[in-house]
Amino acid sequence: MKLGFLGATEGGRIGKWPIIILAGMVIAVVAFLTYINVAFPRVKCEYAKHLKSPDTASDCYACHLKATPKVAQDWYESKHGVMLVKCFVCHGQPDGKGSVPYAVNPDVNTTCRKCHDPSIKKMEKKYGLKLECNSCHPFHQNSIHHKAYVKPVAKRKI
Amino acid sequence: MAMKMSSVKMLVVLLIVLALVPVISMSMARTSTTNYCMSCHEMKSHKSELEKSSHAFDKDKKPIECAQCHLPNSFGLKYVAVKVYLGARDMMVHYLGDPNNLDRRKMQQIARRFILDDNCRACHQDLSKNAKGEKISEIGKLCHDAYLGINGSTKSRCVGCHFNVAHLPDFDRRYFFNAKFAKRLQEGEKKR
Repeated sequence: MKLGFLGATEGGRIGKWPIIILAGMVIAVVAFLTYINVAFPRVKCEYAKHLKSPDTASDCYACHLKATPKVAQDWYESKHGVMLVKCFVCHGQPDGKGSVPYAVNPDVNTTCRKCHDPSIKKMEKKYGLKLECNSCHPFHQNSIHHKAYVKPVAKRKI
Repeated sequence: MAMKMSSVKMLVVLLIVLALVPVISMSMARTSTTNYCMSCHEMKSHKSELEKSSHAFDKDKKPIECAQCHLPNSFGLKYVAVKVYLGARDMMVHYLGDPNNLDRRKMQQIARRFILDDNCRACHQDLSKNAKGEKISEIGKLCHDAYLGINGSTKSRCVGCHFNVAHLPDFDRRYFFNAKFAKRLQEGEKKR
């Protein structure tokens, strides 16, 4: 059996060797990446399981600075960060003992209204509140820097 | 006939593999030196940060090499895996990515993932003292006791608590524990 270009046999059909070599390479790469993920787990917050075991919740910011650095930094630069409105004020606490329910996306009526009730009422009167506050006012962003207030909803005239 | 052919082939393959071993080990050793790391311009800022950090020299006044922290200390499966993974990543960013605009937050996470405790413990054997042999604070001692499993336990590795020890990006300079390092870096930047 003579092998031609790229291992094609004389009949024009591809031989078995290129397929075996290709499959071997794919298996090697998959095995390598699996090993990397098992031997070197991603750096996670020590209490990354706090959603499942709420009693292990700790200093949110200290962990999330490492686990989710972008969100942590955005909060730090935002008005909420400058005024030290800490995570639990809006997100509640994992054990459910906070003054607001524990939520990744806080509810407008239970959280925003606690402080911003007058402004929300004013907005409702003017425009009728149709969307979540966050669709125009980013919670975790400095309005001077970054891309705050460039969301299309915020620019739309009503 | 068929048997003969396959045995000849096997011999050739064996010879090629044997010839590759010194070539691969040599190239691995040569690409693990600080000089090799510095041959890419995007690594220069990391070197200048290291020179201003507390990890510039070890206790014998010998400069600390990149590989001492960033690669496993002993040769083995882990060493090869980390070397291939980080090397391939660096190459990809250098040739296909944007090396002038590195996302250092992402880099910190990747670097921490591959810095093993053994690398730290090679120099920091006694955790009740710092590298100069001075006793550490009471709180520090309690934390290290928890790490060693003497008093409490923690899943955190060395890098889980100790970050910015050798490199300090702009966004981490505001922390009080980085004040000295940040000041040294600032003075160095003024001189330039």
